[in-house]
Amino acid sequence: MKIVVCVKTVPSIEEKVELNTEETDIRKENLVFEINEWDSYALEEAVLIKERTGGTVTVVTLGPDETHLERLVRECFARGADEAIMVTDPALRFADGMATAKILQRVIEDMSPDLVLTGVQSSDDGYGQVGVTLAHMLGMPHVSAVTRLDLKDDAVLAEQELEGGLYRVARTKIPSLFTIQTGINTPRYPSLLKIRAAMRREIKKFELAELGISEADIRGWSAGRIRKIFFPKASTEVEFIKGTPDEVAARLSEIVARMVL
Amino acid sequence: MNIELSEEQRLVRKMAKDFASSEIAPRADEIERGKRFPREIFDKLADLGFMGMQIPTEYGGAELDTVTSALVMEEIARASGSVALSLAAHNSLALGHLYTFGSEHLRQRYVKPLSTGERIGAWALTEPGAGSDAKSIQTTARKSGDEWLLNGEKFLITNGSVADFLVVMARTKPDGRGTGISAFLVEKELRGFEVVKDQEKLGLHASPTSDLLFRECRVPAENLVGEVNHGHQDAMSILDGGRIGMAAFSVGIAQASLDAAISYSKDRHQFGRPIAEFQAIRFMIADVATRVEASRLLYLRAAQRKDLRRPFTKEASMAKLFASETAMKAAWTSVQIHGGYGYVADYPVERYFRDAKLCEIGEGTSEIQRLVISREILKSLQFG
Repeated sequence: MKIVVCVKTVPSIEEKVELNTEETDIRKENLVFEINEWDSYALEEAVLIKERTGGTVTVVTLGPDETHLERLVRECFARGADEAIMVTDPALRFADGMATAKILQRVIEDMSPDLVLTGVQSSDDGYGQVGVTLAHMLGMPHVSAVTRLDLKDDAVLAEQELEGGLYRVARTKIPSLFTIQTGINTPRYPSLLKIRAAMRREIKKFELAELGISEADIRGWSAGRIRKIFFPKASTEVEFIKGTPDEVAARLSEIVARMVL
Repeated sequence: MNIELSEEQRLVRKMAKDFASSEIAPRADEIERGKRFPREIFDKLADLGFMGMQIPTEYGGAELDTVTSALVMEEIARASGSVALSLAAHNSLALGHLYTFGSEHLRQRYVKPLSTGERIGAWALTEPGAGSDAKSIQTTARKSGDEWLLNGEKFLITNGSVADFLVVMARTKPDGRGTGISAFLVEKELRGFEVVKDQEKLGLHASPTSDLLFRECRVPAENLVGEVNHGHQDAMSILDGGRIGMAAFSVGIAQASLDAAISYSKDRHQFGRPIAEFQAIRFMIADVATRVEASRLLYLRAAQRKDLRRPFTKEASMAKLFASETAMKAAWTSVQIHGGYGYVADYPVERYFRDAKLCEIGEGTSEIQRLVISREILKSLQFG
């Protein structure tokens, strides 16, 4: 079984965030970074499957800061990953969910994995786009928000969390992609010996150019632009928006536009 | 000069912190109130490799350097002083002594089960009449055929009642003071060994502190640890290293006290605003935070010197002295900031306050540390 897990490094949720002077991002210089919580469950699920069926777990990550990525990857090794690929480039700070999925596709498609696991979403941007977009690009079936995975030969039963306390079970076949929900397992603590061994493991590192990707590509793929980031003002006013979905959406975009512009 | 941690040190500290805050801290109050040695926590610590931190991998350990194991000690102590104290007595005293000075036979037989946490260790030096004056111990070991016969009492022995294997210091030459003491490995099942009782004490209730009795306790000759009559010097060198661990332990309690003070002072409103806005409170926090940081640097420096195989006796004593007095200061300040809430057991600072006092006493009182430091400084001076 060849399992690929996509992992992201995010600021620790215990950190207090401040905005940069342009108000387009948070200040990241002094933040502590850690593995995205959902991704830690995805990694654990991959390692549990590997321990039952044999095979390899490869983590793939990308981002602008090589130090943060390398720390993330070392931790993944200590938690049971066998191989790691990281793509690092300053231009990756512009990558949104679509661009991230495009880059992951370039890295993963030649590996022909049996399973690709991602977290449902990341705790920083929280778009929840990468997993499902990547599945589409790789031409794989996918199940999102998975709370249980059962494999038998090349058939997979995936329990999916729906809204309102409902669950459903989807049946799919290898190869497939699953976005993993928190709580599906209990991520292990890495032992001291595994941490020590993780420090000596080899990491495959790529720059964007080696994947045939330019900064212009990233900017082109990223459909969204961050105009402004701000802390919401505490308010005692509440507006319940009523109407058809189109009317609600129009009113909502009016409100957001007024706050941002 | 580089005072950054290595990536391995960072990751080990992060793992220790995650484990301590999720698996130990939530149960710290319960085990204190129950006065119960939490064996299940030690089993988990063992799975992760914490029971033989500095022992080579071939003997079942994790082969960490001193800096890294001190960082672990700080993080565990931040969650529970009791767990950290028992871990320190097991790792740096019992196991440290046995591995450093024990024969290959002793290493093979005892080090691995201790390193993997299947067995718990204790280290027995102190006696009712011999605390700071460790050369005056009265427990005796008399050679009889291929055995040693141990007789005497040990007092205030951490892990004494839960240990499977104990390193015991005993007098092998009646008139030798420091040159007539040897160390022995005692298994708890041996006839003539008895746990008299666990002491009731001010704090650290989940870490047993036991009184032990030896009555014609027959120890096999090969269980002599190190050379005969060399036990006192060996014990003192083990204590030098142990003091780095106790300094880190103290910083853990100090940091926990500081964390509690910061969080409480931001939440607690009096006179219409958070008390953190009052300068009296802010200055207390600034003073404690500065001392905590200085204490941490002192223990890291002592640990680094040990790892570099340079003399570290003075540095370890300085770290232990300053960090333990900082723990007491931090706990005192945190209780004061909490006011009435600091005096009741609903908040953990009451526990930190009780636990912190041990820092100034265990593994050499503050007065002994000052003696060691002054001796190290003044010995190089020429008088007259």
